[in-house]
Amino acid sequence: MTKIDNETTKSVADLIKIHIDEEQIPLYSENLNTAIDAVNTFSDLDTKDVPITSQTVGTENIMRDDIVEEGFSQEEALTNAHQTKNGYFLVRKVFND
Amino acid sequence: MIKNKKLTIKQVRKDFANKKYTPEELLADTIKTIETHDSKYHAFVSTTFDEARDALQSDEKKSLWGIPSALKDNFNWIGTKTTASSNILKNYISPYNATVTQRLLDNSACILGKTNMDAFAHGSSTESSDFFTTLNPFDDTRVAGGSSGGSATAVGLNMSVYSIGSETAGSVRGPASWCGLVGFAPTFGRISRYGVIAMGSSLDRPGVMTNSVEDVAILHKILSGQDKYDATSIQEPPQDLTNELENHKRNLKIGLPKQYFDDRIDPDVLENVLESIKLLEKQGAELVDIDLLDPKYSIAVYTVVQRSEVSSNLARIDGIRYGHFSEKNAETLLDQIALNRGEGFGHEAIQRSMTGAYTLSSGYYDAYYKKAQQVRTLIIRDFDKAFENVDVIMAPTMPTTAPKLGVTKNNPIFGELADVLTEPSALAGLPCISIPTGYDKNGLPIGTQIIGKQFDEKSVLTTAHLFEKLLNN
Repeated sequence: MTKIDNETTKSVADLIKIHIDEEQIPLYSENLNTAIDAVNTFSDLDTKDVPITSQTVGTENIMRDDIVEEGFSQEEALTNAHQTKNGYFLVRKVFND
Repeated sequence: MIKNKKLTIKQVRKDFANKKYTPEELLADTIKTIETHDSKYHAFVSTTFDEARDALQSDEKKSLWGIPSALKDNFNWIGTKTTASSNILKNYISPYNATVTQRLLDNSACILGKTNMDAFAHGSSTESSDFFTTLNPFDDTRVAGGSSGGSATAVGLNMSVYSIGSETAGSVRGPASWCGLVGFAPTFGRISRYGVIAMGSSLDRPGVMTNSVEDVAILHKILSGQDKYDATSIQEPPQDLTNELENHKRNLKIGLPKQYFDDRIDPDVLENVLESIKLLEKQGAELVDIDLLDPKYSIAVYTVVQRSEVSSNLARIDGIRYGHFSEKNAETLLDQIALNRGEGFGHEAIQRSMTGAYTLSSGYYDAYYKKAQQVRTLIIRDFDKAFENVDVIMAPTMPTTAPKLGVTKNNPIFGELADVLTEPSALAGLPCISIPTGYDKNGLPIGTQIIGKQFDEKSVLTTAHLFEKLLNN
């Protein structure tokens, strides 16, 4: 299998929106390679025409009656926010100029 | 006065009734134990002694009234810190109750604190807690195990009578095994996941750690049952097995998978587990050698499925709505989020998210995520086939006894490797229990696990109850 290089590691970090210091990248590349090497053990198992399992319980389309229930108030939803303004989350600008 | 032996819920209720001691005395005694030992053992991330004292004012007829307990720090409990032992959530105060927490409180639970864990439950040692490592009650140079290590040491050192943990692979069974406790995880979906900080959503299941199988049944009756807030919860009422424990199956057939008893397992563990299981044979159970897929495949499947789900679940933590906020001045929202997450997440959370994102990426999805989900189907079929001929499967819970502190250093997949014998049943969502069956040459506890068919908690608990009685004789 292809070895995961530092560039790939950087792009994965960017994909998951986690800032990683440049000097940490080689360590994460190494760990990523260790993990991927370990999972390659299953490549020798024949899975042709085997369906996937995404959940084990087997229930589907669990619905409740469409009745309005009391949920979080605006105030409760904001209790753990770093910055709020006028009852909203305050964030940095979304787009660059 | 009280803490000289392992207490059970059943015993404490009897002692209260006989006025051997009062709930106030037991609580004061337990708080003293925590204050004496926990600065060294680090079972707790935070304590809730005031809430515990207040709980003595609740309904004393309820079954958990006055029984000291501990809650893993990934269960939301209104007004308390729920950190999942992570820096990114270290100041997070729960605005709501997990269903498990609610059901405990509805039964007058007396909770003394939130217990340490591997951050976000990523590990089998608590060494990846962002705060500290929980020490093993039997040997303070060794880990308690994980991820529910704090919950295990809390019960192991009589800092609680029972505790709540959660399992994704072996996070209840593993630490229970390494700390000499009973550890139980039911069929996936039997106990609601609502309000438990998510790790791998197709795998996570709340579980309990106790000093007896009877206590497991008491707690299971309270915690199990359909929950409207968890769409994957099993659509059945709470399961009451408290009066069923003596009704173990006659002509019980126990499967022993040879792949779980080979030279990868420590010889002391092997010998003890086999000898213990023979006690059941003497009582008329039939031991049947069975073949299961090599558990090494489960390491691979578990690593991919769990890390993929981790990367998705941890994506919700942005430091904006809640969580660590970086003081470095980012210009845009996305840069701010990346800084919050980079500073807030520990090494293990980051590397698991990275592996998960990688295996879910276009171009690799079929080779890893889809393949893992297909092999997961093979593992389930494998168990189904085995259960055509046997009632339960028994095996060592962990391949070794508790390792020394520092074991995870330079081992980026320690958690997944240590849990090799618990991963297959976790992937299949099967009910399972670990029972303490003895000690190795260093005096460290060994656990034997019993795995049942999906939805067949009854066979697991009745076999465990019989097993426990034979072991205690």
